[in-house]
Amino acid sequence: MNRLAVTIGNLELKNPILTASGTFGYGEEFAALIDLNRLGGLVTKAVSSEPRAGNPLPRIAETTCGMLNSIGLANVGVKNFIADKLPFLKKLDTRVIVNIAGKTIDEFASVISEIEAAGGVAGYELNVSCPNVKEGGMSFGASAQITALVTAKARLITKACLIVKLSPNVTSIGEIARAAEAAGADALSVMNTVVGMAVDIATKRPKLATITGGLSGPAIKPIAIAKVFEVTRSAKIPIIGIGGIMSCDDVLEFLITGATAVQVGTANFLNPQISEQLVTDLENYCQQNNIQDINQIIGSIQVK
Amino acid sequence: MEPLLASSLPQKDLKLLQCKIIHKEWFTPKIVRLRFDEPHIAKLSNPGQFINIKVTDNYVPLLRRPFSIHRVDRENGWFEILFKVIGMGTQALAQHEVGARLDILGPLGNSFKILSQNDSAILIAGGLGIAPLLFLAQELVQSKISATLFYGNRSKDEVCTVKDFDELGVAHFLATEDGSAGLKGRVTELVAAKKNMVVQSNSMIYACGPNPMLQRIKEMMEKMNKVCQVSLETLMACGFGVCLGCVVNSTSASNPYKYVCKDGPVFYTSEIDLRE
Repeated sequence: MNRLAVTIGNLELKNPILTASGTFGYGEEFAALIDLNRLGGLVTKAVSSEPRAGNPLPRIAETTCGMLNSIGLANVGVKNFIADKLPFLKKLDTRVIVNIAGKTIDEFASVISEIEAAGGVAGYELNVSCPNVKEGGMSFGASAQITALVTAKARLITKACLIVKLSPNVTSIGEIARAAEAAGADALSVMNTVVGMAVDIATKRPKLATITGGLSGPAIKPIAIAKVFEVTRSAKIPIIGIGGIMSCDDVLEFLITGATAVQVGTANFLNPQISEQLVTDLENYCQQNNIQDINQIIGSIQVK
Repeated sequence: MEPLLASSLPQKDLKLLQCKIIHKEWFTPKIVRLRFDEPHIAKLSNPGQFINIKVTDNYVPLLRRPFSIHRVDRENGWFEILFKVIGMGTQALAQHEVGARLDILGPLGNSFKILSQNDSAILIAGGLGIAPLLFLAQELVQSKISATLFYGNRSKDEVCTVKDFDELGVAHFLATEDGSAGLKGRVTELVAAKKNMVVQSNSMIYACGPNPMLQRIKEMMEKMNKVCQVSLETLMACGFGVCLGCVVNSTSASNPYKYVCKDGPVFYTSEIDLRE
């Protein structure tokens, strides 16, 4: 029996370790460095209708225990994705989830339709939480109503696992979570990056061209844990925890708080082998602690 | 472009390695050269390529730091980097001593193109931009292409590794901003002063240094009708084309950006726009 297996909606994962969108390319970039088939799944870089060049430079800045980015959903577009990236992904023995970006509700729907026609993916993650684009990102995800509309429209198009990626930069993440759940989402990714800003003291200019960006890395893990906890109190569908995971202890912290799976993000930049390493570490942890089923840990948090 | 004598596909031989420091040499209280015992990188890397180093084993600083490969000894299986202590990353890196093992990702990026149509080369370095040019000089000498170095610095103390270029038979001309060695002024002024030498030769031009200097070199070389390759330095997160953070403005109408880590770090000046 595989003690690490978990289920997200209709999707069985061989383990709860996935890679986060925007930190893992389209998988092939890591093929020389790790065995992708050992992962529970991978989430691709966002895919939109047309190719996007992304935001002006500078796009990244390092902060204490974190980094700011404002990439702006630069991607190859759905046609190039299907022609150039999907054939490689189809050959993998892991769950491939495509992160979907759109400036309009219709764009989300049309990108999913095109990929559905091509086949071979296990699920979709709706990116209604990117803080670095003007249209369709966080501006959608900050509204429970628009989140519900995007989710409902996507639900009509696909039976594959439908995941909505939530932003922490909202008044009530629980309210957005409930809206996505009611509209037919199978799971929730909690969370996207935290809006942040850094200023160069010598030039007095913001360190990013877009002024603000998304903060990621170990600096945001406590925020992510709090958001996962909040969402467990609002929605019943499975949660995929994201935010600053660097170690097996971090994975366990998310699982205990109530996440069924996790995504590893910024850590892939520091250590491109970390995702596979975390699978090994989690196996060893379960073995050493005599845990027969990882689901025993999920949501085992004790709150008085 | 003409047939290449030396080039490589990016990321072809990429590995995550634990490399031992086997030599450490201070040129000034701030400029240091580290030598690593690592046959994989020594044997398979090409001039212009870089490595990405985790300088501490904690999250401060969080990201790796990229360094161009400065020199290799393919036979003895070592390579070197040359850097100046400036920020948190270089400070942490400079504290490691001989015997320490560092987590290194590489070799990364593309490389300088060495073309058979050029019988000579002019190398232009501003400050620590000298770093990748020694490896390039090694390869040029191997390819029987004669090279000349123009090298600018703030002052005489910061002029380093010239002896290594001498040993390769590469002639050099110096410029310093305070006039303590060579021409008083910047390296761009040195190039202007030696304009005839540049124009009359059948040389490929290779340059590395701060972006304003490289933009100036680009403009000068365009006026002289010379083909020029530059190696860029930017902030990077991953170094292998995933984070999409290390952009530079491109001159292509169809694609406004190029990625320094995977499209570069070496570019023809015609491909990029370094103006602020």
